[in-house]
Amino acid sequence: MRLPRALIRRLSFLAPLVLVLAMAFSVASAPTALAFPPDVPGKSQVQSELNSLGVQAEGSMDGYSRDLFPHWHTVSGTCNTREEVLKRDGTNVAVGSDCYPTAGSWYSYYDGVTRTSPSQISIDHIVPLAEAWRSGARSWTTAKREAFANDLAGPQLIAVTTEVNSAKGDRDPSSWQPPRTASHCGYAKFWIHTKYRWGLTLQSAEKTTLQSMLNACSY
Amino acid sequence: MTELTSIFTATPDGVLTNEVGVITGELELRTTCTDDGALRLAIRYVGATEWYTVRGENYRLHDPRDHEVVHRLLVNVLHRPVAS
Repeated sequence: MRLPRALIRRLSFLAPLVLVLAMAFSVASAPTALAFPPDVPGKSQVQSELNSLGVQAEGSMDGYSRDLFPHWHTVSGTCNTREEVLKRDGTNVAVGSDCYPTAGSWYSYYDGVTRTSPSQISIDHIVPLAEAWRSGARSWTTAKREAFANDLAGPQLIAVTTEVNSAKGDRDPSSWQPPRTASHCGYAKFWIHTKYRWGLTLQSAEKTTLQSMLNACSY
Repeated sequence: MTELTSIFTATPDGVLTNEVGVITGELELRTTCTDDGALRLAIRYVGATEWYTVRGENYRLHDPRDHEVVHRLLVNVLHRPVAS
């Protein structure tokens, strides 16, 4: 939009006011970016959760299979967990009678890429299933693992590009962090809060990395 | 057909699988080679009950007798001892 010069001169006194307002709203507010999962606590609560998590070496992968974390299960009507997250994390998502999106766009929080085809979007388990297995889920019942793998109540599922989901794989933050630096605070909070809610353990290196990521949080 | 398996420790960057993306830790490589040289690669977490595929499953050897060499080469490239 172009404004007449005279109007710009008359409105120019507003510029400092606009700047001050913009700064006031940007301080200490959680990102309102789309694709932000639910139930993300403030920095001080996440810090106390991190302090309370048990630290121990990872357990073995004996007996592991994704089948022991049944997903995606039906949530309501024809919609399964993956489709619920696609609806939640997308913009202008329209779905067919089978609940699969027919339109929409998805902003991938990890890499800042936007996609318009759901086939190019994966639902990431923020704490990966294999990582959960070696951090305590091995001793759970299959029913509990199913609840974990389909957890819509906490920050455990997020719609991201298939490529970034594949690149992350089973790795914890000591060996993989999202390429988009601005997502690191949120990512650390999602990870810590999920491990806290589900009573999973940390490795020492993982805790050190999470602490420095949390230190950089402004919210 | 011959089948060879070896256990190795992945680098911190892991190994890229088709099914679940990057996997890390103590892994097991399984290569199978048919009599006409078709070579297939599979990988799993040591002790896990499911196998994943890695890129290159359609490789073909001119001589199936090279299977052992190819297997050993792959393990030596993939293995990275953990510093302690």
